[in-house]
Amino acid sequence: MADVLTRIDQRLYEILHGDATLLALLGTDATHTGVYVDEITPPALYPAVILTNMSAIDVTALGPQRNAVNSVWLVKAVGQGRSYKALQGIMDRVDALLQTTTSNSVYGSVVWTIVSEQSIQYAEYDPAGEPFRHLGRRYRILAPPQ
Amino acid sequence: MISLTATLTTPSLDALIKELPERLQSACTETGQTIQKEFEATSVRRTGSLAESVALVTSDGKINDSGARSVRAAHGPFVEFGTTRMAARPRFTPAVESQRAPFEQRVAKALEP
Repeated sequence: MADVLTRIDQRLYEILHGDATLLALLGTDATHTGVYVDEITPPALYPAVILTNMSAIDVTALGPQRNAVNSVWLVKAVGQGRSYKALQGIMDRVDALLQTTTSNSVYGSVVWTIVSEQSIQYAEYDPAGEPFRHLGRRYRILAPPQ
Repeated sequence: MISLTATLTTPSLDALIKELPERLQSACTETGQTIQKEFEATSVRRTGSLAESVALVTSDGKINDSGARSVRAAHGPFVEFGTTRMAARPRFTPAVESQRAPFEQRVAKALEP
């Protein structure tokens, strides 16, 4: 299972980080790639896109053989300030890249299907009172077991 | 003109339909309780307030022991989805996802005559 999840997050990272249009919307420099798995490399540079695995369940039929892995991923944009609107363009691009039906760049041997299931937005204030906004989606990804 | 009439007697089906709400309620309750147990078992405990904040809420908004689960602690979303200083540590999503297939099995069993 762990290998499957690693392959999926690498594939998602490649798709997102490989898009110049998305990177132009993010905070990037020599040490900040703009797209991260689980957490941003400190000191953080915003806005940033973070992808996190939230769940993974083996799909079996009869017997113990795994036929697929049914996983849920959180992909969100995080930015300083109080504006969700500033993050909307980033998530629109993320969604276009992950949900595209016009190319096969996403789908293949690592990922079978990606379906957006839920939008998420929330506000955060760090201990210094600095406001941040999180805007994202939960995606269900069906992947081959190995 | 020829007229055909067919009469279908379904006493078992009528009984099933009558019992359906109670049977489905039982499937929902069992699923909700299992989600709560899994969430509590896997939650990182500091004060225990998050693990203890899970409540069963029915579709009509009443809080009781049947229906959907929800996390009511204010910091629940931050733990589940992460912050700028902390990676997401999802516990509610895995607990719910683990009960998808069992819930379908419970509903199928509830529909058995």
